[in-house]
Amino acid sequence: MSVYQIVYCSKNRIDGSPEEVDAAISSILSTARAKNQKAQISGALLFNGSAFAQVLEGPLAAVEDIFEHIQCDTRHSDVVVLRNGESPARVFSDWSMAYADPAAVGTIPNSKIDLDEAFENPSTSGPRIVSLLEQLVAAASA
Amino acid sequence: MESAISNPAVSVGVPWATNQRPTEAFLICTQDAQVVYASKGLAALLHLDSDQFAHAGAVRNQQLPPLLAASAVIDPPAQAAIASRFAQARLAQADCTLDFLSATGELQPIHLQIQQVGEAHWILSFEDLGARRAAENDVAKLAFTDALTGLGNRLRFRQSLPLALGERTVDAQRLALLLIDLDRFKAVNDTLGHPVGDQLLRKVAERLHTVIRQKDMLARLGGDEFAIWLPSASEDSDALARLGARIVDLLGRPFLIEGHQVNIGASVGIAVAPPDGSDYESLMKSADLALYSAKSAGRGLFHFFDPAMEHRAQDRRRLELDLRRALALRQFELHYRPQVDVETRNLFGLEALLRWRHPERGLLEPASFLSLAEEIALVVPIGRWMLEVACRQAASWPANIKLVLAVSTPQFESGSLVDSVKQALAASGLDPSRLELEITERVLLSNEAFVVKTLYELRALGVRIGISNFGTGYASLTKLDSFPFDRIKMDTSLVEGEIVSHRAIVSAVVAFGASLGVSTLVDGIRTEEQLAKLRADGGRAVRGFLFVPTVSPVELDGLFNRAVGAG
Repeated sequence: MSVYQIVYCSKNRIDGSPEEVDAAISSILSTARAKNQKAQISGALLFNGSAFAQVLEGPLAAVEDIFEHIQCDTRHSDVVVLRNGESPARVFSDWSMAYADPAAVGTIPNSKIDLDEAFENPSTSGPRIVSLLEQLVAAASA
Repeated sequence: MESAISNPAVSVGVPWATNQRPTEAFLICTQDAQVVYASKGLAALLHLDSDQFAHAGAVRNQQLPPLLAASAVIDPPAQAAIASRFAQARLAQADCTLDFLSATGELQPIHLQIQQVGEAHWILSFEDLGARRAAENDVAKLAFTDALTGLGNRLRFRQSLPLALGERTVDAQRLALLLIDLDRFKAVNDTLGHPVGDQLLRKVAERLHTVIRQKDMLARLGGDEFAIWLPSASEDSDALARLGARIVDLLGRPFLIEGHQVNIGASVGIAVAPPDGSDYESLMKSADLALYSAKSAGRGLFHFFDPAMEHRAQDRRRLELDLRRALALRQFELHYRPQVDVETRNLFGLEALLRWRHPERGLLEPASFLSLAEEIALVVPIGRWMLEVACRQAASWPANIKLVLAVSTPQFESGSLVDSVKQALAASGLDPSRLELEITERVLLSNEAFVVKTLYELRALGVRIGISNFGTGYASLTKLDSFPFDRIKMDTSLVEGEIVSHRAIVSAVVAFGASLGVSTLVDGIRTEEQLAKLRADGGRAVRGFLFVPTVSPVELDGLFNRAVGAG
């Protein structure tokens, strides 16, 4: 069954100590997971300390609603859409919102560079970000 | 006319006058208070047992007082009042009214009208005024609401802002007004259609809603214009600046609508009462000037009102008045820029340039007034004037000197260009082959059929056509192939700096021009070094003009003499 997918990256605007940032991310994740489950949305969030990348997949209307909600969040800025459109299947079907933290990002070579480059070349970075997240999620669940 | 069938009174033998139209809740009774008809609406209003009304016969021959007494809506004092008012009406043989409160929890006012029909009957019409007020409120609500976004509309904004200003003067606090204009909204409507545009406006409204407080007023003034006023705004303008920046940021973020990624932006103008205006009109005007300033500074910005904006607007208005008079007062002049062949150093053409000799400001170049002229639709008449005068002057020049004249986009698109050229040539007697009209590459991008037709008509007159600013638009080379023209003039920006890709474009265009058999020129060569470099990169075929200062008409003779002397 085809599913609508959007991939975006954005810059972190959470101020505070590492602990406060961690707390903010936890709160973002728990809210997202509760909402996504209800809305039949799956996805993954990547955070490398300075930027986010997120994949959202599900029914078009639900993805649009969640995306709009995320857009109004002041905890990030400079949102760049890397990919949006129909996708043949869910990539993160087991996850209402999988999460790859800065430590996990460090385990995959070049992942920092990938995220920085995403802002520069949005049109070509969508698939790379999805596959990077896929690897990170697979490594974490193995 | 009431139809006999729908008129219940006819069925009970009561003559009906058209001006005696009862409300939905009414009853008809005889002189001695015997009810002959009661409507279903009456049962609903008075909370009467609807079984009583299942058939008309049920209420017949019932007396009015017990019928009223059966209603939970009419309490005993109201029953007494109705009975007494009915008795008065019968005595006086006159219509009368009575207002009383319903006995139910909500205590709605009920209006009763007693009217005589015919000789022997009376209609008692009941109306729930509470319901009518609610309906009126609904209508009022609609009139003050923007149907698309559910926000207040311009009317609501206009009505509420003066109120807020009045309250502000009482508590001596500041009130801020923000005018918000979407950038590139029209493009969304044009390319993705109005349904997507409408959804975008709804999402914009929702995003704006996230930045306001409960006591702030957000409205859609119409189209892609939104406005917010904030009562008791903070003294410190940093808070307003943060709000302005937040709005620009929020609305500049991508929207996702029906699977389309939509990117717009917003410009914001901010004015604060009392310093920037203490009534609706003056505050709106200040915010509008601030918005205009933000938009002209490049969009995606917020600007605070500044009294200097008012001066600039006044200057602009004055300039507009002057500009409207300039043609009639013969304040325009033509100056000429010599075109000198780099190979031979011979003068071969003169490009006509517009100058405005302003009585107070001196000699003005088009950059300082042309966009204004375009706004007030003066570009076409000015262009026509330039054609006439330039052709007349050129007719007296040596025959080997060409006249080059740039045609503005509005002039080209006006549809009157061919006629203007025809008239100017006929009036001046200038040999058409000595006139070269320059159009910009941008003109070629729109309405191809019209462009091709116009260009062929101009060529049929015998005039030459050049394309200027080549390399700044996006005209594809294949498209150029279908246009009749004689010369390509590359844009100045292509020869400035050391950019290698520009050199590649220059040599590609030169080669393309050669293949079409048209000459290629590069505008804006100022120094011999630039020329040498350009030739090294673009090849020997590059020709260009050396920079020669612009001359006024009186200096032309000297120029011609020198040219003859040099040649």
